[in-house]
Amino acid sequence: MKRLSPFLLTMMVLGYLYLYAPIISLIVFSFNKSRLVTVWGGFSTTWYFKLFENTQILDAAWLSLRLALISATVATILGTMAGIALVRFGPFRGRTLLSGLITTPLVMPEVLTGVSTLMLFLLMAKWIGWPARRGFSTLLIAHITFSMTYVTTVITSRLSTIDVSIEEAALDLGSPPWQVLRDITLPVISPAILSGWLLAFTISLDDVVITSFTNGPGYNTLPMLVWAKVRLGVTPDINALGSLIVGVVAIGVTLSSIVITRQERRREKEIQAALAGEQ
Amino acid sequence: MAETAPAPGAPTDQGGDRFISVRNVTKQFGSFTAVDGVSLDIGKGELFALLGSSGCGKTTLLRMLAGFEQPSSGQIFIDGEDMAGIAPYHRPINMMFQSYALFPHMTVARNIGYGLKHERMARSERDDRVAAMLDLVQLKDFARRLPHQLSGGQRQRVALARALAKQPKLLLLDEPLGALDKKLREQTQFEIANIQYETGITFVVVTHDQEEAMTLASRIAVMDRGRIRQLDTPRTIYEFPGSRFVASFIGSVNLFEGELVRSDGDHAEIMVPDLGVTLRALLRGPLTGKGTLTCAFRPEKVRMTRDKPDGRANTIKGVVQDFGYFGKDSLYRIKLPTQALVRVDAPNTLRGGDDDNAATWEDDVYLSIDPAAIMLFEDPA
Repeated sequence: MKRLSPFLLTMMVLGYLYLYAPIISLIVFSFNKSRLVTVWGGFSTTWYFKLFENTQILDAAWLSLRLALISATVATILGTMAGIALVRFGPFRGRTLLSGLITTPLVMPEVLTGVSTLMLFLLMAKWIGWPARRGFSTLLIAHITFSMTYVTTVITSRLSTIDVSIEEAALDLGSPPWQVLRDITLPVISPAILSGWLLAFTISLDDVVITSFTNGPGYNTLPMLVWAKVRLGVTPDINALGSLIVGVVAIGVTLSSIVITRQERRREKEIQAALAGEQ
Repeated sequence: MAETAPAPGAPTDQGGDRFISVRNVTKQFGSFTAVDGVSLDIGKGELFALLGSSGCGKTTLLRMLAGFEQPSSGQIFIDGEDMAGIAPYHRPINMMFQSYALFPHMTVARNIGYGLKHERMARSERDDRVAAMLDLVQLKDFARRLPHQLSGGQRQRVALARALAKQPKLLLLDEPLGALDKKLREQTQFEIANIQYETGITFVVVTHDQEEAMTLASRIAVMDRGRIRQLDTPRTIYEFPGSRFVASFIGSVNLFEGELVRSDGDHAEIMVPDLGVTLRALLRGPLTGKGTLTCAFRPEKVRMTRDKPDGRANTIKGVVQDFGYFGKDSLYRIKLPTQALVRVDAPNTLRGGDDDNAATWEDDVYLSIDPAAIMLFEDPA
């Protein structure tokens, strides 16, 4: 293998350090015996046990997870529908308005989105009596609203690169439009749907600003709890929580890449077999 | 008009049983008229070509046949049935798309079998049909591949097999050979013609490539700016084009404006200032004397000699200004004393070159044109 020049090697190490030093220090200090975050007091796993005894953190994590799962799923369905309408339905009346409304939250400061969503809920409570108090449902609506924007953007950009004629070909071969959607459009854009869902999930999971405007008492999501705790000083159990999340993400990424490489290898083998069959 | 040809846009009922009947169809996109009052009939089992440069409306006409566009006015009948308001998925028509439009997430076999799932047929029957199609396009060993694992020629054949699998009454082909290289194109042309002959399905091919249209089709409609300029057999369109436009669109041609001196029954004498001579031309119809008179002749119909020929009509003297050797023939550009240039195609029939006759730069040559080879057009330029 070609050896890297000392300069490139240094830059590479510095680059990785810049990206991963904070995460590594988080993981290292999660095994710290000392209560003080910056002083090393020997190896220990106590903070992990303490973490699992802390129902406040566990409740917040469960709430965040439920919120992210449901809002990402609903946002993906709505966002995919909006994306298909914007790209495939031609210049229908109100198209520009729809596209503008959908992308506005992308450029609007989050604080404004948060305040206006809160205002909406307050006015609704006054006029139609719902929501009487803010809680899971208001959080869910707010999260769906802003994460749908991201899904729609991902779907429209993918859909506009796909040749319309493959959908026309399916129509031509006898499939009515809904079957074309099921057989052709959705499978072809499925990677975009998946990445849209992941994006929506991630954004919902770590949102603080909009969440703090739309939640009610007793509905603290994990990022809000962490935020609140850190203001009182970083405690090692937060480090332990962070390390666990990093661990879960790392395992997820590794597993998915293993699955993808396996599929590719199997596909390669099939091609080889097909090629061998020709001779 | 000197050459016999239908008036643009007029119905041309040469299609026998009128399997497909396009009646005065117009398609407008906003203020742009893509197809302008087109009428034509296509017979059952015919291989018909729509030929024209890009933007002439040929693809729009094809998409109206497929049902992707609705005519702004006029009617389309297929097998006697009015196609107005019938969705693409209810038409007995299949189309082979220019981009092939293969489903990227399906194997070759599933691509070909996709249209069959709407037919009421047993699974085994469907599998048999797919196998037969794979056989027809010689892709048996590729059934389990995905489209991106195929070469351009193989994809083209999958697209053809998929469009044929449902045994449509009519197959539409949009630039079927456009994405293939020259060698493959020649081979595929004959394959398509063979498959058409074997299946007996009516084919309508859209192309901008005149060679493709000439070799494939039994009849060609030459389109320009949304109208049909001429509808005829390839031979008639080439040898007897109905207008100056068609003559110059199909093949290459020498065009010179002239003035009628006199006509005696079946011959006319035309003074052509650019050639510096009076040409004698065979008349194929009466001249009206209106509009600009154009004399046209194909480069390969000109006979070129180094000695002055005896007793030949329409002999012109010139100098070889340029020539290109193409192997099977040579292309000459002959400069006349009037400074006009005439294109001449001379076939190389003798191996090693016809040394006695092969002219080279600066040689004096004599051109002679048979009166029957001269085409006369009176349409305005």
